[in-house]
Amino acid sequence: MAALHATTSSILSAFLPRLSQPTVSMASRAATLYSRQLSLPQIPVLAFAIPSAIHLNVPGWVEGLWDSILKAVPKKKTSHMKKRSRQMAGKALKDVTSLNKCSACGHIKRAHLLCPYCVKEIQNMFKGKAQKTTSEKPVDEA
Amino acid sequence: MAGGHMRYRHLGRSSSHRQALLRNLVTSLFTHESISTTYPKAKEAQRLAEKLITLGKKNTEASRRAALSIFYTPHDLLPKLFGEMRERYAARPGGYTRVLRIEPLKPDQAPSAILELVDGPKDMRFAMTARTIARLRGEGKEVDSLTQYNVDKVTRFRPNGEQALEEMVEKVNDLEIGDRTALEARWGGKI
Ligand SMILES: [Zn+2]
Repeated sequence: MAALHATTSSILSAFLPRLSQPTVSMASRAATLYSRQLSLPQIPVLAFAIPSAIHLNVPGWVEGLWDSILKAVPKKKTSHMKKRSRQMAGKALKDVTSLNKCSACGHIKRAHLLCPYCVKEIQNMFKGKAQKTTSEKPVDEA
Repeated sequence: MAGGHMRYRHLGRSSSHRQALLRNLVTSLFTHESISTTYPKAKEAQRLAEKLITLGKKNTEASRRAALSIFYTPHDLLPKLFGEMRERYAARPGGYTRVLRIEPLKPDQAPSAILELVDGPKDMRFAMTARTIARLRGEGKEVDSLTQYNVDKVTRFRPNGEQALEEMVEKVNDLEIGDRTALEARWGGKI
């Protein structure tokens, strides 16, 4: 019974040191010692132990935090312009250099392709569409 | 196709879809004598069209039935194939059709081409050669070697080829050169 009372009082004193002081009158010395030690962490023995513990254990714990969330990340979203200029780099339209002259009208046309103007005019002629006609020879000044 | 030899263009279609497309193209070709489509479609339709004309030149009961199963409007086109076409190409040993590259027609800038029946009423090379001759005559120049090569090509199997070419030269001579600046935007800006 006494042992039980002592343990309960020590637990109470451990959690509520101020309340336990006046109520528990016949508490054992050990109980008061425990309460003193827990309520006052600035005991030299503990003060020496805690800094060493911090120095060894906490850096590992913080390192895990760095690996999981605190990595180097972009500060801003890449703008549409930046993204498009990066992805379209080197994909610009090529200059058309394979050009020659249309034998029928003299206008510049793409090599190996029929002159689009002559094709259109001849197709209109085949269809019998009203096409401007002239007695002049077909010569293009351009 | 991966790793294997491609024997023909699949045109991104199932076999039945491709067959239907080619039947449509040759039906249009024999109806209108000349069609404008993409270059790969024109080349594939050319194969089928040449085979059809070969059937027409054979002119047997079996070839009639084969041609009947290809055209979508056989009742309009079978008399043409076994009449007009057979006579037109009787002397020509193959090469009844021609594919000429033109500026892209589709909005995706796919290479386009004209597929035409050689020596037909809408023979583009024939008309273009005639126009070249008209221009050279107008400038008082001699017909150059390349034009002479084309002249030989378009008149070789055409009945009264030389005369027909002269008539076409007269016809295109009256054709005015259109405004080259008005249509510029369509062909990609200033050229
Ligand atoms: Zn031209």
